[in-house]
Amino acid sequence: MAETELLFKSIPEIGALYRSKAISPLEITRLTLDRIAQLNPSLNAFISLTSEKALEQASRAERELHTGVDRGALHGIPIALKDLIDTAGIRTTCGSRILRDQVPKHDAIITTRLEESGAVLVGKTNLLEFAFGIVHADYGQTNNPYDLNRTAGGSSGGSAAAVAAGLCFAAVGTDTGGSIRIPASYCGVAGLKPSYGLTSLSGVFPLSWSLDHAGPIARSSRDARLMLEAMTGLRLEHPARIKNMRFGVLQREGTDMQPAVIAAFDAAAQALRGAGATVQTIEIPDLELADAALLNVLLPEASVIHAPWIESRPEDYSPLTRMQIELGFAIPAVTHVRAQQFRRHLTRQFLLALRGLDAILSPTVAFVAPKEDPLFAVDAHGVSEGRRTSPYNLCGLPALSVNCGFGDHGLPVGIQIVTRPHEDALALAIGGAIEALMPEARPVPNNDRGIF
Amino acid sequence: MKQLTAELVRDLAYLAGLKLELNRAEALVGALQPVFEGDAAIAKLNLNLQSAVEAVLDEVKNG
Repeated sequence: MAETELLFKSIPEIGALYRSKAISPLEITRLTLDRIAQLNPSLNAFISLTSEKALEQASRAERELHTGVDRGALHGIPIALKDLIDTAGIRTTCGSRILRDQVPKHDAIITTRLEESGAVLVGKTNLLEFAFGIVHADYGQTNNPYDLNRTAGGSSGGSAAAVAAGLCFAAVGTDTGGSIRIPASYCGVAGLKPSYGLTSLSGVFPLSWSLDHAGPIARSSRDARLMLEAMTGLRLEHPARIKNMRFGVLQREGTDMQPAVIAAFDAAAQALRGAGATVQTIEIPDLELADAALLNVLLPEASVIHAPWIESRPEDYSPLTRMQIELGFAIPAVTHVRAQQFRRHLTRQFLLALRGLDAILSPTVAFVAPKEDPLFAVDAHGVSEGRRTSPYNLCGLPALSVNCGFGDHGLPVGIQIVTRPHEDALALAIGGAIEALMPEARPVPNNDRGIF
Repeated sequence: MKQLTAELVRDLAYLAGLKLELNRAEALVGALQPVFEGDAAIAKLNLNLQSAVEAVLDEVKNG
């Protein structure tokens, strides 16, 4: 079997090969590290590699599987972590100059859980500085595997690009306004922002404490589910049957929507109808104010976190990150509290809408991957980028992006699936059903602008 | 709405604990205008909230 083919198999497929001894965790890990060495210079998906640790973990996985110790689906599977998730003894930079040399003493809880599941950590992935929307020049942009002249998205771009390019089988990202789902959409992979609080944020550097989520990125909803199960210790299988399900469509239109994105989204909606589901347009009152509310929650919360450094070493931020942090200080407390109250109001509207629905669907992003990451706090294009993802950070609802086709220039298009609180298993099951209904949307990159 | 000025932005930031030079405050004016416009729109809503948590929990319970 071609080596590349192996690295694009699903987690269960590789697991089956391990257990039949057709291939070993050490072999797969070596192949993965070789592929990273080959492609990372052009993708810039990784900040740090953990090759030695990975090979130790892979050897241990091999020994354990051969002696009947089976830690589950992720045993021996190469994964990556966004570089704001603490890894003891391993540099964790947050994509920043300020923490360039930070070496945590302790693992984040997510890190510990994934290690206990037997996963093999191949490296720490690139991100926008402190997850705050801007590339720091010290690290550079992560490029899109489909077109190296475009961004992989952010802020979890390194994790999404690494998964899409076969540099790992799954990764962890974080999401405060769309930072898992936007790069997942741009890179044609599955990315879940779970229910708020489902995954531990202990040891994960915060951007906005009440909006932050950590979640899985993988090449399929099923693999994302396996990753989330390891991160949480929960069983999340769900027997979703699309027939007779009811879906509500939001934000399909808008002056920011690219026609090819609408076409891909409509194809997914039609596939669901063909499978016996009802798909109808819905409205959420006051949704248009979610953009403003997100900024008025996020900016002050981020500013509080960065208060010591913005005073002592402001020049070490990228100029636009510095500006965003300064902005938060100028937002009055009442403005922030009103935005927090608005969140309760918006959540109520969504929960009322979901009473008659199984899930809400929307395009994940209005457009395919742009050349550079737009500025979410100060740029209309940036606000548009997060418009369809950020409401679910405000409300804490689980929201999954999966690939539903290809838009302009053959670039991936994501569809977003949103369910009630703690119905993450249902969201993942619906994502899997869409993937099964639309084999034509399975990313099979074949162009001369990317790495494939 | 009162026009935002660099001096006002500088003073707001100062009250929140950040000393900004006037030129840096000036750079924030354009980005802050839509923030306050959005806040004004939110302020007009009848949010009918008495507790930070209770209203949502009822919906989750009944949903």
